[in-house]
Amino acid sequence: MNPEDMLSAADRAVYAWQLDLPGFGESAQVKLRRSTALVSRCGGVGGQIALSLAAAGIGKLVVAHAGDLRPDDLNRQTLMRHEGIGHPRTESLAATLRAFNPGIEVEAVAENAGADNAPALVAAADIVFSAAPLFEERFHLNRAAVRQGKPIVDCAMYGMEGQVIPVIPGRTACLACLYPEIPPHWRRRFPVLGAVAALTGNLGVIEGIKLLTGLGTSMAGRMIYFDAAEMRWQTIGLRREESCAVCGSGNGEVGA
Amino acid sequence: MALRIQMHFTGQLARAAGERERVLEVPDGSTLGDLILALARGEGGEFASLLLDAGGRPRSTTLRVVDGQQIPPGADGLALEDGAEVMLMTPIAGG
Repeated sequence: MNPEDMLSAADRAVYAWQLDLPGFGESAQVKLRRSTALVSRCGGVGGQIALSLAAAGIGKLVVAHAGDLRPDDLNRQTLMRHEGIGHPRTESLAATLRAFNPGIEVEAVAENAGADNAPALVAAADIVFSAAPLFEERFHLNRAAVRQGKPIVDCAMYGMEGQVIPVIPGRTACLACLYPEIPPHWRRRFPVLGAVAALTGNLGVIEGIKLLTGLGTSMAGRMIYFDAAEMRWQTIGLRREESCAVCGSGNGEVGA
Repeated sequence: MALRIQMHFTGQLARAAGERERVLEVPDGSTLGDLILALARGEGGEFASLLLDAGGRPRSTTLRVVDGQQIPPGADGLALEDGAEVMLMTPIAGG
């Protein structure tokens, strides 16, 4: 057997409890190790996505997030540290992730996703986790992922609510199927309980690991929605739009 | 005869309404679009501006969900049934 298809003794030691998962096993762990995940933004949602992917043993993480750490990031951005205030967020996140799991590769990109860099960021990944606080960035990633046929897991929260939309391009509804234009009322500032952001991110990671390994039943084609205030959970069937500007017959450029 | 519709609001819409759930009665034969217009006109203010565009038409970006299934904005002519559960979700992008 090719050594790359096997786990090392060190891998088995770290992931022993995960390998006990029914339907998972060594083949799934190897699939994770061979996979690269792009995480767009490492805020409350994206930071948890990166951390949980690192814990699960993803082979490589590419985390994109511009700007310097601010005090008001710290109620939710758990990859950061107080001493990092005023310094690039990528410095804190890369140090935390590498210290947590030195067995994975971490590439920190001090940029947010935009029209210019989204295609290249997506091209380097097997799966995309979208967690930016602006729809414009989410639409750029959605378009690039659909065009390249890469699965994308869109994870978003607001206050005590969260939602996760796993997308398999060409098969299930993409973000532009749901929102045919940039939602005009969304604002960059939104209420956040850090635990709700982390919960949203972890739901996204669960769905991403399903897509990468075949574990469980993927919710692609559905939205997972929860309201933690009332602990109300549901999944919603999503309809792919044949006229979608991104994944269908439409020619528009949503969010361009 | 009136239809009793169980409404659910999420995100900014729930915040503007001050509640997440409401039972609404609409005339028999009402469509999903009729329901959105009736809600917006009854509530007014920020709630209405979240649901309707400047021309008074239902916004395409509001996610409509009827009995657990998303309904595209082009299908606002969907006839509602008594006892239906309708969820209106404002888009969220907190990350």
